[in-house]
Amino acid sequence: MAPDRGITDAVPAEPPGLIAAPAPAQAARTGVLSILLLGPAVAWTFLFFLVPLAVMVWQSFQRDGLSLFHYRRLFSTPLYVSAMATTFQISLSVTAGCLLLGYPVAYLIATAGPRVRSLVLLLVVIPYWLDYIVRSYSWMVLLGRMGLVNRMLMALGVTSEPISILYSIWSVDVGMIQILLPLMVLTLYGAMHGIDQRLVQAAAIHGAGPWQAFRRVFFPLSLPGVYGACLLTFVVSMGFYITPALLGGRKETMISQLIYTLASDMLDWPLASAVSALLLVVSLLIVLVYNRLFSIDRLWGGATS
Amino acid sequence: MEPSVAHGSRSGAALRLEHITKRFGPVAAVQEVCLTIPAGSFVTLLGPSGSGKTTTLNLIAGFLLPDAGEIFIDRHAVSRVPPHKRNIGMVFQNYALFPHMTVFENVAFPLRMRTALTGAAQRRRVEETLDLVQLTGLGERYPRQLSGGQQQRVAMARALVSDPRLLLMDEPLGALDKKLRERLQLEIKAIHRRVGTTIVYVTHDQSEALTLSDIVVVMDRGRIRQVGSPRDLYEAPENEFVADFLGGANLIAGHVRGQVGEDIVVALVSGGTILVRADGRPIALRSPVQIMVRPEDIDVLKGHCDDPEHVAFQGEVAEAVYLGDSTKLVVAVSGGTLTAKLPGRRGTEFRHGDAVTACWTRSATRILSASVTEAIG
Repeated sequence: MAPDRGITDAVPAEPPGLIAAPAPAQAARTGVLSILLLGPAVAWTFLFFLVPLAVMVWQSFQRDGLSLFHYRRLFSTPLYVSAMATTFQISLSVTAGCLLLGYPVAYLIATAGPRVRSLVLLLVVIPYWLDYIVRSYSWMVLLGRMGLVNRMLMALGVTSEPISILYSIWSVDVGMIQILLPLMVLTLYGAMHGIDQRLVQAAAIHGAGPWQAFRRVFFPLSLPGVYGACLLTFVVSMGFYITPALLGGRKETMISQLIYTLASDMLDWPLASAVSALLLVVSLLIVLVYNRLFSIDRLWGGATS
Repeated sequence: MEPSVAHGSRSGAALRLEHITKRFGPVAAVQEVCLTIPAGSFVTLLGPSGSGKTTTLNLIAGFLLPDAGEIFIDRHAVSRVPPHKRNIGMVFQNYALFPHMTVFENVAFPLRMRTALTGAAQRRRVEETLDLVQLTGLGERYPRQLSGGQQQRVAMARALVSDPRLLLMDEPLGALDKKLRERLQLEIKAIHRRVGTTIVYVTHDQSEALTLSDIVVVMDRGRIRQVGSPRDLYEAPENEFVADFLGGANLIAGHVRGQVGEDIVVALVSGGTILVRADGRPIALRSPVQIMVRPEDIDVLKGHCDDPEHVAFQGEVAEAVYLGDSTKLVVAVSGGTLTAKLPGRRGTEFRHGDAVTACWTRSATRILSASVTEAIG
């Protein structure tokens, strides 16, 4: 360290004179501007998100001083671990469902002409105007024993008795997919929009039919968008609470429901905090592992130059 | 049409456009275009932006369907044949290389789509083509790891690898600097000589068109203004647009007054008459015309010009611009200015305000019939 400093001291960092003079002032001005622009959002996030989060984590380690008591309780109760597994499973099936339904729609929006594009985009966004609690209740009406779906099935003679769709994994999936589909479609569309259509033309003129052009050019180039959209949908659905509570049965209890019950019915805040911390850690781990597996660089072809 | 890739057969396809029209809304991007391109030739579509040259290329490629007219490749009507069945190669403006594939995979793409070549035979064909464009050994790189010039070569290789009989090039050198552009022009010309495929090349750069082409098609506002060899177009433009777009021209307005022997007498709008050698084309008496003289055909003298075979104007030097290998002189004469380009150091003696004579031989002058709108005005 010492010799380095000797050398840097000998050479002035900034050439003296008129040219160098305005630079620090300008840097200071952009610095001030950045603080002004970022400040309010950062302060808000700090006060109302990071501080409560820290308090929550702190609480989960408290029992007459620092202790792992609540975590021991958590891991020795099968309910919490199995709810975590259920949460994982539901999130996975919801993400898969959203991808299967959303990819074709996003593809249509990305490749259609301007008129069709704005129409379909509008149709995708309209459900957002309706609160998701309302949407979940509507599904209860539709999927109930005497709901529209059952009555239709019976009228068609598919079944003589009403079948139970509500309060099952199916109704939870249907409801959550319907709520999360716009998120999937819009994220996918954002990524597909960036794919140069001339690459598809280049594939076509060099002999690829529509299917081959899609399979070999458009689809591989859309994969980073697929991974991103899936991650987003998955993480959001991990925290779902109202929809599984309304549409699911006892077996479809997701982790957020347990946290709610612990915090507001049983007033066991330390354990609620511990379960929340577990959900947070698991979500973060998933993001990390996922990023490692599907790094964007690798997909776009070795940035190792 | 059922095109087959005939390997090793290195000949071009003949191309014919018959009364092609393409509209975008109310605007006709291409209007009534008729064009016959002989097999194996290098044809350039030249014009300013919005002239319809790229639309014409996209119609030939099949990315657009014509509203009227028909396109024939080797006597087969193709305007309803989708692009992937037309057996065409294409170099795009910004290359449109597949970013998720290596250079090798990019070049092998047309072979995988169009031919049964696999394994060693495919590898050999790709490597031959990479050799042709001087990219030997770069097959494992990704496009983003290459320079602009190298990417351009990959695009060439991909377009050529399956021996298409027709190659389309859409301003392929537009993104490169001047030096590299000039080198690649010569390479493209050499490759054309070797593979013999028909090339349709779009550019707005007139010197590029003159360098590369057997035939230049000058387009303006969706119509073809003239078709001919570079020399024809430069030396015998048929209209003002072509004269001006290729190489710059002095245009002097007047009308035909009569004929004296081999010369046509033209009365100038600015007063006076000049004699122009007739070139055999019929010209109606009293019809409005433009006289065209190329800057390099004008000589500028300090004294008088007494040669009766010359046309001479008195004037004074308004501008003298030294260009290194030549000097550009703008001479103010009665009724306008004339631009002359003197080679070597001959022009360096002139200064702003010098009284001079601008003159040229009668045979260096050409009569263009003025366009309809100007004739009315």
